[in-house]
Amino acid sequence: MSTKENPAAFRYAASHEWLNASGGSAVCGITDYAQRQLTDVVFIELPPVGKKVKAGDRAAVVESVKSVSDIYAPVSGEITEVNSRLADAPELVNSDPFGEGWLFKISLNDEGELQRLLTKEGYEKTIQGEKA
Amino acid sequence: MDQNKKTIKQSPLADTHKRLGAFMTEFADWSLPLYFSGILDEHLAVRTHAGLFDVSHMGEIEIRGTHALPFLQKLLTIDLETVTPNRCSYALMCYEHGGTVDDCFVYCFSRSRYWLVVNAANVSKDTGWLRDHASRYSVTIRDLSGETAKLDIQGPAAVSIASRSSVFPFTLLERFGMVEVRIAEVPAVVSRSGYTGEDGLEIYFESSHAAKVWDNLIESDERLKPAGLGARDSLRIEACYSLYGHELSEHISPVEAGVGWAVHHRKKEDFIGKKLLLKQKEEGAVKNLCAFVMHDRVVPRGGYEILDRGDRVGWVSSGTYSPCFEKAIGLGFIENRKLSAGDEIEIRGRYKKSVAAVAERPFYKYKGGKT
Repeated sequence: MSTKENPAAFRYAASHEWLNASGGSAVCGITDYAQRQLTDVVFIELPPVGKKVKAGDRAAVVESVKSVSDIYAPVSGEITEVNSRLADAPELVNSDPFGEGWLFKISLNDEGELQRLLTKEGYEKTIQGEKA
Repeated sequence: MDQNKKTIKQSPLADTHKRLGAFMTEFADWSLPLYFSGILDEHLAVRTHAGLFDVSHMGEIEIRGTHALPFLQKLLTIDLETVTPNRCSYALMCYEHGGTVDDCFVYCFSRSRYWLVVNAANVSKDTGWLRDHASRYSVTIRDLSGETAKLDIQGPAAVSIASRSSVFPFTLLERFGMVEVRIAEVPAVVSRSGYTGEDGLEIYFESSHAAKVWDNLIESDERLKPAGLGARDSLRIEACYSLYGHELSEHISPVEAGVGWAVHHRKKEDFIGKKLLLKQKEEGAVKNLCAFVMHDRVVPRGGYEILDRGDRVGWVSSGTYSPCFEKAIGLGFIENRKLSAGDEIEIRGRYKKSVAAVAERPFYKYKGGKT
């Protein structure tokens, strides 16, 4: 599996979620680094649309062959949409983590929270720290 | 350097794995590939064609001497009279209380020379256990693990692929037959056996030749896939093979783990653990291994509770997603009650309870060649 570049326009959480914000809402997923650690994703428990979450709350659960992992909301807000394709094609999280493998969309309560997330460079430093 | 950090052993194929872009993991203090192309992809390659596994972490212990046979009759649960020269067999070593020291494959070179192939995490424990019981026998016990590489080639095409790398046609080898032969010109011990539920070979040789043998096999067939420990685990769970630390342990006997067929209580020699194991066979054990299929797609994980009509009746020992059945499957122990295939149970997972159905073992039946 070839490594995929972390998009420069996205923001990241140290717990390996990404967020792509525009106009008061954001798309969220997990990073390529995360999907490689998890191994093949076989099932994703997604949040109900309308659920209100705070930054750091569990928003989804990813079942992979090797592990089960909580996915946290990178920011506070309300879940406005989930990626329904993942029900039949969870492998999209592995094959296209920054694109078709997105998990949920969230409306932002406070755009100021985006400042607390990591940039691409900051996230890549975090990964290097984990590897060491 | 961190003083508390354990020394991680490198496979003799570490450079090969790096070149192939393997995702590495640590297992029993070894750094080994978890996967190359992906666990599901490698799993299916082994079920449909062939996969090549680096399992150099496995331990090899040689027992030599005039008393090798009576010594192993005392230590192993199987009757060694059934393992004639150039054959191998699954076997277990038990404590007096019936719990398991380790499970292993025993290879018979002659009645005065055997190998025990043991779990990597148990090599020093096993060597110590053997030495502690050897004083009254004329045997020498040598740990060959450090100098021995092991490759498993597994799958319906595995035996014919490997035959291209040797003058010996491995298709002639019976299941659990063993031969000393050159493979890729390297002297090797080869048996028709494995840990996947498929036909295949296990190949042992001096570790300095590891890259030569690996490359020769990989280059002889373009559909032969490098496979990692991830697929090794999902394959063995489908085949319902025990993994020490999960289905077997100091506190779990072979009878409880469903491998009582490898406890030959009728052999004429006494063996360690016989009394308790025979009792469990005759009277039934308190806990028994059970296989189950999940109704939803939650993957059962070791330690999850098993419930029967609300009561905790046991625990999950291993689980995975089965690529062959496209369902989450698991193994676990049920205490103090008998359940039959089809019975519904519940698995209490990390974030919810799920319904599962007890299944026949194994999920996947061996479809290998010559038996």
